[in-house]
Amino acid sequence: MIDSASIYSFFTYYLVLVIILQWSSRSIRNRRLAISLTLFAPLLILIIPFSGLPVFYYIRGATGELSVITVIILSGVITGKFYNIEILNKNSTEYFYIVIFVIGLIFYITSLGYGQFDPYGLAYGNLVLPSGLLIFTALLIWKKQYGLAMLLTVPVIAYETGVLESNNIWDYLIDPFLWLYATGRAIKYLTGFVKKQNTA
Amino acid sequence: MHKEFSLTGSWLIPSLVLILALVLGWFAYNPKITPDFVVPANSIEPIGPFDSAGSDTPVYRESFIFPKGLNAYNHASSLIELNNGQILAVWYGGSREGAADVKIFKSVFGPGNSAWSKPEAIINAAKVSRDLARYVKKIGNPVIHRDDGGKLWIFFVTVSVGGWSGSSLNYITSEDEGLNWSNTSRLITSPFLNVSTLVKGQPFNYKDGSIGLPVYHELAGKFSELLRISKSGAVINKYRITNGRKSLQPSIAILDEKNAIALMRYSGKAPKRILSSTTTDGGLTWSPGKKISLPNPNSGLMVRAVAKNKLLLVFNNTEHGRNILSLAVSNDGGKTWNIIHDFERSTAESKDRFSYPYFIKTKSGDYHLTYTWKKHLVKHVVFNDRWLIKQENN
Repeated sequence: MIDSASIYSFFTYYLVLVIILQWSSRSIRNRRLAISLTLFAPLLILIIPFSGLPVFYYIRGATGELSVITVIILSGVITGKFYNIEILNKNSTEYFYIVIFVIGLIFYITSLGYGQFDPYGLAYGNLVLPSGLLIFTALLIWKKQYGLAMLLTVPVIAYETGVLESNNIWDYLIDPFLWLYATGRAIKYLTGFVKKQNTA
Repeated sequence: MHKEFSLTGSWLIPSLVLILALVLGWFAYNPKITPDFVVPANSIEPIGPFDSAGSDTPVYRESFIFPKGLNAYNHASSLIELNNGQILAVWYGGSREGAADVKIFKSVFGPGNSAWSKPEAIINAAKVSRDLARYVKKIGNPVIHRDDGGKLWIFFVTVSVGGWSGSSLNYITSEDEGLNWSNTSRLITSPFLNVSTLVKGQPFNYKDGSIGLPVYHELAGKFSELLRISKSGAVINKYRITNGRKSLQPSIAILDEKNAIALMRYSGKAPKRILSSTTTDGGLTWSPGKKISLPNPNSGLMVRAVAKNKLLLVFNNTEHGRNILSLAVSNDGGKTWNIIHDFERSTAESKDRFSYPYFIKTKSGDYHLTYTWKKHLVKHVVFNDRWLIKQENN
């Protein structure tokens, strides 16, 4: 069944494959060939049938839909690599990953049944969180943090228009892969920060 | 050029104010009131010596839904009464649990016809894969329900990767009493790539038309939850019944519009007892899970109110193994229990397993119970109020 969530998923895995192929095709000297391979091979990989189902179905079965923020970050990686356009400012995203790490830590621990509080359960059809995010976005724009503002606005718009299967705003904001990535980035940043303090 | 971002200085106070406002707003927004439960009509009238609506003579019959040979493995049956008085049973079966050839089957019983119809497959993993545009490795645990508009729903689990703890919830619906079924739809219930929500317990209706679906989580933690699902099939709310790593497969008995009791399978250390939790606000909040006097060998059970404050419970009456399947009655809303009958009793050495009981009470007052019999058959037991009274008085 083709719906917005299927198209979104297909696009997500396409981005992931493009990044992997871009990295692995660095040794190809012909730049035009490398770019063509990087952009078109993922399409073929995703639609190749395996035991009667396209590869896309298997990846989707394993990972489901990734969050909108993950897709924006993946898109940022590609625009940076191919067009030298940085969507996100490095200084601000380091703080962003620390925030994602802290929020995700509390969020996933409680979601695994630690205690009776369930932030995921509270967010079905809840308008407070998306409204708050939009207010915070206004604050970000006022502070000229356009990249971060986009990171929060796009998921809220996607949530309000029902792009994914979920009607829970958390699914638009965070997923386990994003949290793991943010954890790695946060640890790297904090370790560097501590080292810097010690050498100062 | 991006401006340097800092969490200190001019950002600190507005950020803190915003976070505080969000937290306060979140709790203020969340509805503290759930709709009332729909109390099943046949669980209000008194039964027993007071006013037996059923037959004057005790009725107790046993049979199997299908003969040996349909599948090597059959499990997790559930039942619904159709508008014409027939009983529709669904279960899953195949060459083994979790095999690729597993299908969800249906069969119809009565009235006036004491035989079950030939089982028909409703759905399999390949069909679900196509419906959901994603690979599905295995399916299981179908639970059938009728919403307040008369539509039939089958909730079931699918697994794409790993074991049952990687399950997601799905449903199909029927507008023609189970003759034809819709394509599969998914319920989004978990932040872990939407895995680890499973279903076993009997659903119920809320007065606003939504469906209450008892579910449980099995990944890392083991705890029970209640989903409220809209008429259109979207999750409206998720309420946590218990937390931690020891309780699963909640079965909920509706006592009145606001009160219900959940009994749960216990997967913790000895003494192995059924866990109990109660709600007084329509399922929004639940009391901490506590052990009751009856044992539980980490196996599924079913409880249901059959009259005012009178509950029936079918459970494995042992701390180890599933070789005894018993019926217990409570006349005080689940505070105390009396075991009145053993549907099955085998020795522990036999390794016989009688599990996953599910029962309904029909409009005529009969009780229909099904359960997995030695993993490869589904047994069907019919009894009535007179038989219950007789058993209670023995």
